Amino acid sequence: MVSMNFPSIPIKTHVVTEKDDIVELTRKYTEGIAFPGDIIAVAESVAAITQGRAILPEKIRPGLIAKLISRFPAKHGSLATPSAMQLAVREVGVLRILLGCAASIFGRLIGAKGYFYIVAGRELALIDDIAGTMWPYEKHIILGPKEPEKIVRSIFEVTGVDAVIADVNDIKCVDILAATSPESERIAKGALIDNPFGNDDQQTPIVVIKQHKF
Amino acid sequence: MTDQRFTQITNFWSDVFEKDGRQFSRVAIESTYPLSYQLSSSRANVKMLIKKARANINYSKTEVYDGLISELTVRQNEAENVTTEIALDYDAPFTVNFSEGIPARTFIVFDRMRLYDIFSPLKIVIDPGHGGDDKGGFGPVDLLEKNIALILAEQTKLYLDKYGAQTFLTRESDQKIPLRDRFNFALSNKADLFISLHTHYDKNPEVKGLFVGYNPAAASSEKLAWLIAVEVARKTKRDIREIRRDSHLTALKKIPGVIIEPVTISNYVEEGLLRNPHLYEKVALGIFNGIKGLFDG
Ligand SMILES: [Zn+2]
Repeated sequence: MVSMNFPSIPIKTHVVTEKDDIVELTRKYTEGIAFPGDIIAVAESVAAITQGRAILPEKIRPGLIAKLISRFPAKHGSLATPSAMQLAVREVGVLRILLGCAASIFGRLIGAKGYFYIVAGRELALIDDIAGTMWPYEKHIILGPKEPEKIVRSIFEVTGVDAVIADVNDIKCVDILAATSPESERIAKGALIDNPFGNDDQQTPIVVIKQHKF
Repeated sequence: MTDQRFTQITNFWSDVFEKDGRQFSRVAIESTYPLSYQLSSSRANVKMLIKKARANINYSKTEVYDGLISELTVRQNEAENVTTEIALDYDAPFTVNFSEGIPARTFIVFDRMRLYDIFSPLKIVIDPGHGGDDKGGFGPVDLLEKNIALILAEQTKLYLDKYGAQTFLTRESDQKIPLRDRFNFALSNKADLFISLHTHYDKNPEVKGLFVGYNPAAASSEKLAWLIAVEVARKTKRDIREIRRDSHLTALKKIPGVIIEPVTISNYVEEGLLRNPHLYEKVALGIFNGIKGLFDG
C-alpha cells in the first residue's frame, strides 16, 4: 500500500463572504502553491457562504412542525433551533423529516446513531445551526453548498489542479461532497483526517494536498 | 527547481504552548520554502522583512491578544518581499527557530515570564454562580446557567493557575451555596480579587451581550470591570450591554469584585455560542487579560 499521508498546506484567506466567488478565491490563494498533480480542498461551509447559503434566522418563520421537531428529544446533531429545522424542512420536505424522526427513534432502540440523517437526507448533516460557524457568521444558519460538482469542475478548469469540497470535523470524520476524480477523493480522505482546515478562527478554508515537491 | 525560486507565505498563526512547565507565546510563519529574512525589533514590536516572497494573503491584521502578543500583520511590498510585524503588549525576549517540511515553518518564540510576576502574588476567589436546585437562567434550547457558570469558572482558574496565581472556587460541583457564604469565603481567605461568573437571562429573546457589575466599595473595582468587559468583548466579539455597580458585591468590603455575564443565555445565538468550547477559552483569556491590565505596571 502506498502511504495516504501526503502533506497538506492550509492557506490563510481573508474573511470570506457572499461577495466572493469561490472559484476565483481558490485560484487566487492557491497560485504558486498548487500545481497539476496536487489536490485543492475547499471547506464546504465557505463554499456555501459564497453562494449566499448563510441565512439569518430572522428571515425564517419556523412552522409548527419545525417547532415541534426541534424540541424532539433525540438530538439531530446541529439542528437544535426551530429556524434550522425549518430550513431542513424546506430542503427535503416535511415527509422525509418525519420519516427521519421515526428512524431516529428506532435507531435509539437498537443503540444506533445517525439514523435521522440517513433517512431524512445526508445533506441535512451539512447544515450548521446558529453559532455553528464563527464570526462574522455566528448569527447565521449555514446550509450545505449547492452543486459542489460544478464548483470542483470549475476550479479544475481554471487552475488545472484536481479539487475536492470537503466537510471535516474534529472527530476525524472526512466527508467528500464532490471531487474531480475518484483518486483525488481517496487521497483527500486520508490527507484531511487531522483537519488541516483547523477551526474557524484560524481562517484557513483552503488546503493544498501536495503530491509533488515544490 | 532553480535558486530563483520565490517563497510563498501560506499561513500565519499564533498560539501559547508549554515547555518544561513554562508558558511561551509563539508566532509561526508557514511558507513553501525556508525564509530568507532580516529581523528587527524595537519597543514591543518585532518586524521581519522576508526577501523574494509573496503573500497571497494580503490582509491587514490578525488579533491575538494572548496576554503578550496583541496583533500580527502581513504586508506584501512592491519590491518582491513581504513584511511581517508582531505587535506586543510589552517587550519580551524571543528566539527564532525553523522546522523543515511542507509547509516550512519559521517560529518566533516569546518568553511570558512577566505574566508569572504579575499573577503569582495574587489570591483570587472564582465564584461559579448558582448551583444545585438554583439553576439560574436557561437557554431556549437546553443549556442551564449553573452548568455554564461552572465551566467558565474552571476555565478561568486554569488560565490563572498556569501563571502561579492562588485560586479558589466557591463551588466545584453542582451544589447550592448561599450568596453570603461566597462573599465570606473571599473575606476569610483575604482574597485580592473576587470574580463571579454567570450568564444573563432575559424574557425578551432579543436581549444579548455582555454585562459586568462591580463592587462600588472597592477602589479599583470599576477599573477592573471595564478592563474585563473590553478584553472579553474583544475576544468573543459580543457587544457590551452594560457595566454598572452591583450593590450585592459591597458585602466584599474592600475586596475588588466583579460579576461577569459574558453572554445572554436566553438569546438563541448566544446560547448557541455556549456550545462551542472555544468560547470558554476566549472568556477566560479575556478575564485573564483584564486582571493583567489592573496589576501590570
Ligand atoms: Zn446568575
